[in-house]
Amino acid sequence: MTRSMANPLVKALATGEPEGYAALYDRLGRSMLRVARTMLHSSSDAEDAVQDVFVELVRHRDRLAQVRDLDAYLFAMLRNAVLRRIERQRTEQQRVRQIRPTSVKTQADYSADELASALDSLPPEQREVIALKVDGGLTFAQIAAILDVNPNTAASRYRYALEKLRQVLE
Amino acid sequence: MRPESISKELLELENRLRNRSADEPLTHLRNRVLGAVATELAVPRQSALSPQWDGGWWAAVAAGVLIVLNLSMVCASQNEFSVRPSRGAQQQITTELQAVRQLEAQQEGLFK
Repeated sequence: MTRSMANPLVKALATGEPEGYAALYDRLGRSMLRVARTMLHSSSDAEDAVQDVFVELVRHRDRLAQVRDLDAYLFAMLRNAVLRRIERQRTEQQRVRQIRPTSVKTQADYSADELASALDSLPPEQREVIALKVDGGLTFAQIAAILDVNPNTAASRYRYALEKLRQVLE
Repeated sequence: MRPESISKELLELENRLRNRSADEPLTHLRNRVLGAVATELAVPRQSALSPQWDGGWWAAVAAGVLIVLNLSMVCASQNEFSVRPSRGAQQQITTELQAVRQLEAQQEGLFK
């Protein structure tokens, strides 16, 4: 038995037990949704991304035996799902711009609170590290594994992101 | 692990971020996600030994055999099957033909 299969939750997921997936959603669903919302600026896209992750997890449950850190694995899957949706959003925005060249702000843009606006103004890689740390509650080691960087790099990227956010808010 | 030299201001900002208002995941999302999971779990998994895959495999083999047969028949129709003697055999045939003609000439002489 591999190390990850010793974890009862991983075993339940790998053997396709619905209760395992329900338990996983109850444990991480909230933070996953928050991370996806921060990165995508869209609740519906964020919900779709979370669902994508769970469906992918079921499809590739035979890979779970190789997983060392389930949380990091899940957030890495979420990141990929979010990046795919960001790419789709870009394509949609380009299509809208072609139809309507002038920039038109939606009601949601005006009603967004100060902090959310400040977060939106950050570069994607800084917003991503804030989302994973604050909304996902991950450690820098886990964030480093997801972003494929050194843990110190993840920590310093987070600090720079907070500093940038503070400057924007001033 | 905390990033080094993180100031009090940044810690306050971090707390503000953590406590910012965000819609909690709705019950409908839980139902939706777990519904999608149940649907996906109900899909039969296809392994290398499943009958469906075997059917596909044999269909692919049969298609391949038909293509090879077809190609070989096309090649065969463009081939020339007439048998030509080798150079040595040709000389032998010429020699024997001359001998036959001489015999014919002799026969004609006998009956004149």
